[in-house]
Amino acid sequence: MRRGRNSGAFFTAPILITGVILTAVAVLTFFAPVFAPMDPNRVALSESLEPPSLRHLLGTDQTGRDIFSRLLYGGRTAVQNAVMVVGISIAAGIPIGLACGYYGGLLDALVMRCWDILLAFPSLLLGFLFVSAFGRGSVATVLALGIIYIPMISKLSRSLAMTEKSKVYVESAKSLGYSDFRIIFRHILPNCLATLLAELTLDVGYAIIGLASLSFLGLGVQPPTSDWGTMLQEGVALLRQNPLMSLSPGFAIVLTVISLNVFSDGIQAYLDIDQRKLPRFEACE
Amino acid sequence: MRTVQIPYTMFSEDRRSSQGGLGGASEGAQRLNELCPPELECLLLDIQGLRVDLMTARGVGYAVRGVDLEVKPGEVLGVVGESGCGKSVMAKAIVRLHDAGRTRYSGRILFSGRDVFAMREKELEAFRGGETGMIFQDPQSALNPILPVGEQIAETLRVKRGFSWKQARQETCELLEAVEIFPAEARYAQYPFEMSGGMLQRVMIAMAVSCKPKLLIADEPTTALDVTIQAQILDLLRRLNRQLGMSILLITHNFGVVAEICDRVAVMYAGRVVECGGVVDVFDAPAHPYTQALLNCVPKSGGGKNVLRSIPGTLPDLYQKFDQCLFAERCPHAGDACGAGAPKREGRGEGHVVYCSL
Repeated sequence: MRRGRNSGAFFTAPILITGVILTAVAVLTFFAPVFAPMDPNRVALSESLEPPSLRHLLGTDQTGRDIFSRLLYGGRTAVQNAVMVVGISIAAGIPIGLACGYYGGLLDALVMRCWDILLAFPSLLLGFLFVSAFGRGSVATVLALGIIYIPMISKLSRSLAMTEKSKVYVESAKSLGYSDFRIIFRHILPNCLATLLAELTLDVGYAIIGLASLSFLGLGVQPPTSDWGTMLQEGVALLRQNPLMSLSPGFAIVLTVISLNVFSDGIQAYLDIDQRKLPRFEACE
Repeated sequence: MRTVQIPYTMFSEDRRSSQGGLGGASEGAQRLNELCPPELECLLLDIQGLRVDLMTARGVGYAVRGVDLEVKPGEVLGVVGESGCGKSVMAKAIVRLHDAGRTRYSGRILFSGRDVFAMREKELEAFRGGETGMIFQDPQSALNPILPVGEQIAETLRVKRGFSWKQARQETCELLEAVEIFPAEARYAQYPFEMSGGMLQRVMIAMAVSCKPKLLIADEPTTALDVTIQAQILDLLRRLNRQLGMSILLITHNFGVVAEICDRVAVMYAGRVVECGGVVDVFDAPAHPYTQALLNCVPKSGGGKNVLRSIPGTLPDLYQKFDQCLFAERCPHAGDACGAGAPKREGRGEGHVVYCSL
């Protein structure tokens, strides 16, 4: 049987499992208002620190708020913010990186030194800086992390562009009189996409952790808005009384990030023909 | 071999002009007359004293060392020479394709009277692809691996000639048929890795000629292909030349290819042209010792003993500046005059020049 270039399994076991988990996380958190059994901010002091029950799947916190509902809403904040962080780094990092790799020279040298300075900054410090400039809240932390992530994605795009630029197809595009803009975005960028995609998936995971740590320190999302990082922090003091307060957001973070990493690996394995899982002979004949 | 007429619509300008005046003349001759009225001696490409110095990690490489070449409208000029003699570097220099930061050009390249080195970025973009087309040695790597071939041709049409998506698609299919890729519609959507080398080279040609350039620069277009495919590609190039009056600068190291389709030939050695003239003149009466030696190396069928001859010695160090004849140390006839300065330019009959002090 003759097949197109898409033969071979995209849905290998790791991709399938992590795909299901990630879809579940995405749907549950995005549609939190639908799935959450109650208002995440509903205070009921009479029900404080309850163990898991049918009414409260993961129990309640010290003010009697439903942990499961807060987990879903908190996930929505965490995932949205993480995606925004990566969005910022894509929007600025990829075009700048590609341009640096393509043109090289002074532009490249200047930009790369700026990135080196940025990379030397601990993200926490930059977080503090932004919080003091813009005030507490998710805007400041998302912006801070987004900027911290620009150098990484930018350096990756740069090195990819440098490899692609020396290939003959770029020379041939030049010989046809295409503008640099067209060559960079229409010819070089699509050839880098596979690697970039895998990296970006990974970055979403890192961003979730990064945001959670900032929230944990009280810099990011402010109460009463629920967020995985904030929830972790709130639960620490009451770890003895109700461990689920911290454990459930912690587990959610771990699960999501691991899934993202494995998923990113799977994408990379699929896009690389040599690594891709191909069907057995019997299945093809 | 089946030949396919290139569809008229592709070259509508020619059709319009061929309706008046010269009734019986072929399209190529018609276009030739248009570009270059016989009473005026004009050149399409005039390379004057071109030098290309490349900055490399090993130092400055003097790749092209003062080349004078001309291409007349409608002619096929072959450039031959061994590997590393500067043929490709010269070809790329014609459209200034070298990395600007690491290349130093001197001399002049006039294209239809315009100085290529004086062009600004926008002019250069219009010049590349619009007035010159280029095809490369290895078609596998010269096409974008992740775009369907049809789309790559269509892109050229949209960018350079302002076609709409739909027009470009239609024109692309016609172009594919013109370069004998059938069925064009199905091939349009295929990716480079789904096609053979010969077919990809046709695609490259279609792309390069899609904007009806006046000059096609073919940098060893058949080197990576097997012999039967080579013949087909050469046949296609010749047809483009005849029917469109498009000049071709054909770079090769294969004398057979030159004999096959070129009108004139220039022999290059170590960055210089050593001899240039009509193909028949040069082949029948090679005047430069290097040309003689090269032609001597071409294996002939029925040539008796199966001895493959070569030229003793190696290319001179291209990282050094030389003034004298560079072939002297390998030349069987070398004498005192050879080391004394630049080789003398000498005419040998009409349009046949040789650079040799002897």
